[in-house]
Amino acid sequence: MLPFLVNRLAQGAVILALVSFVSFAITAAAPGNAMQTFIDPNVPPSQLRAAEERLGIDRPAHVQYLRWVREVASGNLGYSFRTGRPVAALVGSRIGPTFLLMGTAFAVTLLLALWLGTVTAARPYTALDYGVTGAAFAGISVPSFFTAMALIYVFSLRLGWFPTSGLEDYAAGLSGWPRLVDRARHLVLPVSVLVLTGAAELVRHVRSAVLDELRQDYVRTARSKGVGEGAVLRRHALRNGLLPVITLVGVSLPRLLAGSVVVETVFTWPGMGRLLVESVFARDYPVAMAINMLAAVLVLLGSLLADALYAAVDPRIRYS
Amino acid sequence: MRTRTLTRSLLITAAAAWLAVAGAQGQRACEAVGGTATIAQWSEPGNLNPLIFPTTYDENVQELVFARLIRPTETLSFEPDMAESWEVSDDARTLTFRLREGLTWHDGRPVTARDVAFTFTAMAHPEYPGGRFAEVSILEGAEAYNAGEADSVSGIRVIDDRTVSFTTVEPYAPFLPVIGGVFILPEHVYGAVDIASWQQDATNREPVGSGPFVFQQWRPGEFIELTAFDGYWEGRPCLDRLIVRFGDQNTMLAALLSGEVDAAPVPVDGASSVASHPDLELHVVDALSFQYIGTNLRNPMLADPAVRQAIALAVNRDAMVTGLLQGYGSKLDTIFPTNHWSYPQDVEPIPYDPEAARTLLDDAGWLQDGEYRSKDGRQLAFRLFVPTGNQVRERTAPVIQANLRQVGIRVDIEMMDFATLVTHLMPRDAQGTPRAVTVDDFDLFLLGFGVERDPNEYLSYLIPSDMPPNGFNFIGVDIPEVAELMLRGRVTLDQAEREAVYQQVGRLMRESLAWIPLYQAQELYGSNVRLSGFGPDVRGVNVNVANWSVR
Repeated sequence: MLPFLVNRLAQGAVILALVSFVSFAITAAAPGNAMQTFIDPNVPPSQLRAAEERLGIDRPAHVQYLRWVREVASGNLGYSFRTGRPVAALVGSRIGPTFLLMGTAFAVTLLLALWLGTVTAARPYTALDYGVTGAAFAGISVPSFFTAMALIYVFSLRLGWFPTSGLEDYAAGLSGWPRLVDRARHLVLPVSVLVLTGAAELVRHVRSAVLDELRQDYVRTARSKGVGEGAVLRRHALRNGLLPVITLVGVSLPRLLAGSVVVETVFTWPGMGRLLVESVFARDYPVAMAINMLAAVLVLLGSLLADALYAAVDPRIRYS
Repeated sequence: MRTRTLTRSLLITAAAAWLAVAGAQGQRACEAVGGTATIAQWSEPGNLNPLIFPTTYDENVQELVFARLIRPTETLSFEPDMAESWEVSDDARTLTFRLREGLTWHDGRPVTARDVAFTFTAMAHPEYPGGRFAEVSILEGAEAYNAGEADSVSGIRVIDDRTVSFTTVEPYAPFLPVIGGVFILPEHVYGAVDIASWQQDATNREPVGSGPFVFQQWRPGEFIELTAFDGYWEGRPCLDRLIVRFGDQNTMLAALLSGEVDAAPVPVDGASSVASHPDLELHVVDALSFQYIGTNLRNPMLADPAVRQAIALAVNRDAMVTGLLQGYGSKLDTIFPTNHWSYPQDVEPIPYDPEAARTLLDDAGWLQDGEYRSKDGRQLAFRLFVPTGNQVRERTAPVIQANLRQVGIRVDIEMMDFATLVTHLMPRDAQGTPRAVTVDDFDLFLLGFGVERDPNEYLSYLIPSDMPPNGFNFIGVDIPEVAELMLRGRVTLDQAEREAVYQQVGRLMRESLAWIPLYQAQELYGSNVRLSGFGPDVRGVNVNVANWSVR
């Protein structure tokens, strides 16, 4: 196990270095820089040029990259070009809200997918199965911004059940229990969009995995021993069918912190995805790079986690 | 010394006097006192230090926290703000401001003339990182101080605790607008921070000013919270708290419709839903900005006045106003906003006349050759660069394309974000050094422009010496009479004479059509009936914020 881990960590370091290089190159290739987004008749080009020099963005891309690497290696993520805020604090402040949104959505998605996937696998090719499958495809196909606007229209504007946007009711200044309830109400619509668009894929995976297991010999043996259908489904088929689902869970981890660009923008959720988009349009590369690197680290951790879980739940898998 | 109010009517002077009295007594006619209002804007401010590269979104919040010496009136003149009066010297080079008595900062310290001097001196500091030096470079000694050759700006003088004067190297008409555009900073807060690190410093995010509201907190990506300043010179605002939210335009519209925010800007598509909502009121405000088609005059086809004129005649601007703007706007016929004093009301209108456009092109030798026209084997074809971000403007691009096809001009639309468009308008060489514009950099582009405070802001866009890399004349306008008038406008102090100067520029630019003016959109805001007193006008959304109250 230890050599495996060392090996994976070494691989990870190489991959991170490559990712940083590629994402910096892409950022540098985008036309324009942070100061070129600021055109004001009262600020002549010479002043913009001076500001570029102060930020160091007048230098060739490779010089900027090496400087960025040096700074990051010494633990300094730098300052946002657009706002002057320290990048670590700016990105750090977005982790909480993103994790809350994506984590809640992920938990709901997982539970829903396990339930619907198992139910439909137990009764394949029935009206229920076709209904869930149809809904799943609709969920995958409809773009999330449309789902989001539709939910806002119906549940906020027409019915008035949930707020349209934000993390909480800023004007009310609530605290304690009412504040928790208020925050939960703000979570409902964005989480629903993520579940509606994200559960579809997982339902299909669970369904086919469980269906595969139900055709196995051991299931027939269990049934012939007189094990009830419910127990067959839950204790045998679902448990074994979970193996491929674990992989999906592992690769979903980065999404939990990287956030969702569309949902965060539509619901003005103060998360990572919205910050990434804003920094790309502002050519604010210290911020964009930090988010990219965070996402890369999470992808590596996620796949490592999935591998470890594999070994834990399936005795046939051993890393040596 | 002779006193000159620079305001044209007695009415304004009277209004200012009334304000001064009201302020001294701290009286304010509030419909209700207390409560919290929430307003929204479409983008988050970058920072709240008014001297660091301010954008409109920054200034909308800064003007709640800070105050200026003087501020614009609805008729685009100036009235006293922190200053109770000002005087112009006989040689027209020195402006002396007298501060109101008893002004304080939000932290309770008194405001003095030294704070004013500190603010304007900072803009000229050799290590000042905020980009606004050019506004004060006309001050005597500013260049020397900026170059590190002097310890202070000799043209900025503190006479006593409440009196400060500014001396320019020559009579400079736009200097009053400059003063009217600078928020005054407290020296004891901002002076304690090394100016070179202003951009990164916490004062950037936690401003201290002397305006109507005190900064409380800023949660990035969410909101900024402000509370009423008891010591505001014009009297404490009616509201207790004001919350500024920022988010996507459609979401903020939804939040307005659902009652979560009390006031928000409204995109044209949302106007009818706001107007028909029982709890909402739609405010339609004339703005000082407009949209135009820019032409690269280095392109021989576009250098031909007949081609530019044909484009202007062929574009159906009425359809843009009635269709895309749903009537919330108007067309305009030259480069100044129609509601600004620089706009010549007698300017020759640009009609929609595709037939005349065809005749012009025929006469110029551009003959129909299949779907499009050509001359000497060259097709009459242009790229049209369209910056994203303004939905109405994006939708005008296909209208322009279809209109021009009808007269035989081919247009290929290229959409790009604003930063990318700038790399075409202000190009750089392979080493990243800014260079001159060539014929290949662009053909046609769409862009907006507006007067912030004074038409002198057009100078860099219209004089030949300011073509990139030196300035913003990307189009390549080189009309000696226009350049001469623009330079004269800077040193002409008489308002009537200035109006004549800029209006003549307007007529000449109508003739030239180097900028093909399209339309001037009105700004739309919605407010909940819960919020009273909300009354945006040409100066912006927060003009009378101290009088807002909630039920």
